[in-house]
Amino acid sequence: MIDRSQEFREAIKDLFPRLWRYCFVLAGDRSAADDLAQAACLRALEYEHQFQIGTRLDRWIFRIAQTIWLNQLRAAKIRQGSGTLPLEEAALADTSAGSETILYLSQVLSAVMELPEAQRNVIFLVCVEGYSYKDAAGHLGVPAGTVMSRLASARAKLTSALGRNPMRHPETDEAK
Amino acid sequence: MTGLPPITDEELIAYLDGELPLERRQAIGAEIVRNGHLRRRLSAFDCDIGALKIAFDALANSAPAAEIGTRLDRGLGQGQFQRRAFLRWSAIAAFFLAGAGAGYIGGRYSGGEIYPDWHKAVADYQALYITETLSAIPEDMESRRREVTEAAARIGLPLQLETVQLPEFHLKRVQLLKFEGKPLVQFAYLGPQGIPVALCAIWIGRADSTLQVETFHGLPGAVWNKGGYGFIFIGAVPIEALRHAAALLEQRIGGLRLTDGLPGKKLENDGSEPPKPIKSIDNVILP
Repeated sequence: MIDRSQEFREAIKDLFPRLWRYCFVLAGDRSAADDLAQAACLRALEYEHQFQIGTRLDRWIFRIAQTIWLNQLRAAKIRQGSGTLPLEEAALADTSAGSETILYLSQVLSAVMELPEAQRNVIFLVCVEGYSYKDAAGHLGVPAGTVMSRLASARAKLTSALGRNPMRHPETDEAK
Repeated sequence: MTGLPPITDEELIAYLDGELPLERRQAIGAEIVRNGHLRRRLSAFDCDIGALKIAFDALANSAPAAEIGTRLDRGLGQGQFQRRAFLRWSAIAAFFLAGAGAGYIGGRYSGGEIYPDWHKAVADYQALYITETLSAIPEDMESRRREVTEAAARIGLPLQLETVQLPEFHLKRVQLLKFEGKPLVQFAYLGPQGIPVALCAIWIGRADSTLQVETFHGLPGAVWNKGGYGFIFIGAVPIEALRHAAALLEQRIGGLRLTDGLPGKKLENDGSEPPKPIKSIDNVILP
């Protein structure tokens, strides 16, 4: 018989990769993401009794991670003078592997991580995690209009840096 | 130019993300078709969101999950994670071969509705297709016939090759995929001018809905529900060609008796179970 706490721990383990990558988006490097993700897991276990069955555990623990980041670790990182992002940390793999795919995806990640923190946060939530604008606004504690303007800025920069998707809206070329 | 209120950059973003109210979305969609300047504005925001998601999914694969698993079991004691400089190549390769892992966690704590997020997952996956993804697959209708029947049967759909064959769309491949633990069948076509298009179906346990054309992460898709199944026909072909072919599919599938042989199926359940339980399905191309 699996008790609730055991089931809760298993669920956290299952979603940990997603939590960790969100922490990477917030913190900007692997080391800080490790610390933040671990802190979020610890806090989640501590406050397990506050989690409501039937609601989304992933979004609950994402909020925990963001709160810890904003209240504690982010300030500490800035104080330590390591607030800028080491872009090489965003690389997915040793490029000696020779894969054009990996190189491209590393470029994608680097482009995202070069965005201002607020913009990369919202584009991750909406475009990667599938948050609605309303949910993203609730998570970030900003109006939906702010979510949209941040998304517009972020998508314009990413399109400029990476090019637009040639498979979409092929008719856009006709007018050029 | 029509009498539309000015279209802001934020609205164009919302259009791409499928976040606009239906009436405004349709109005802007019609204006995009008419207005080259607006299309150029839209394209300035049309970055490859599919690649973004794939990149972050690969990044998630490099998370120190084993370490956290051990430490959660021990109660998260002291100590630091083992630092790793790079994600292992083999892990990434395995990830991509697995079909970019649309699903995440299952069970009691998974939370979140399968509907309509599966549309977006399909759109992200479809956005990665290029003509060459499918063009080398030989035309072998006897194999397709068997694949269609077998794959559809795995999700409880009585489809035949004739159900999914379309004029001007060449059926190239049938795949079983998985979304949030549920089997999803994909029929991949090459449409007009060799543009990849896919029909996907999944059990969602929802009431019927009629066909609507929407945009999912910038990719047009025709969606409808029938008999507890969700369907999407998606690809970057002209909207009218997409709508016409999807309407044909909707009509044919609508003529099937989808509830035959599926005792106890409820259309308004929580969508948690496909009608025919299966023991395991990997992301595989059927033999």
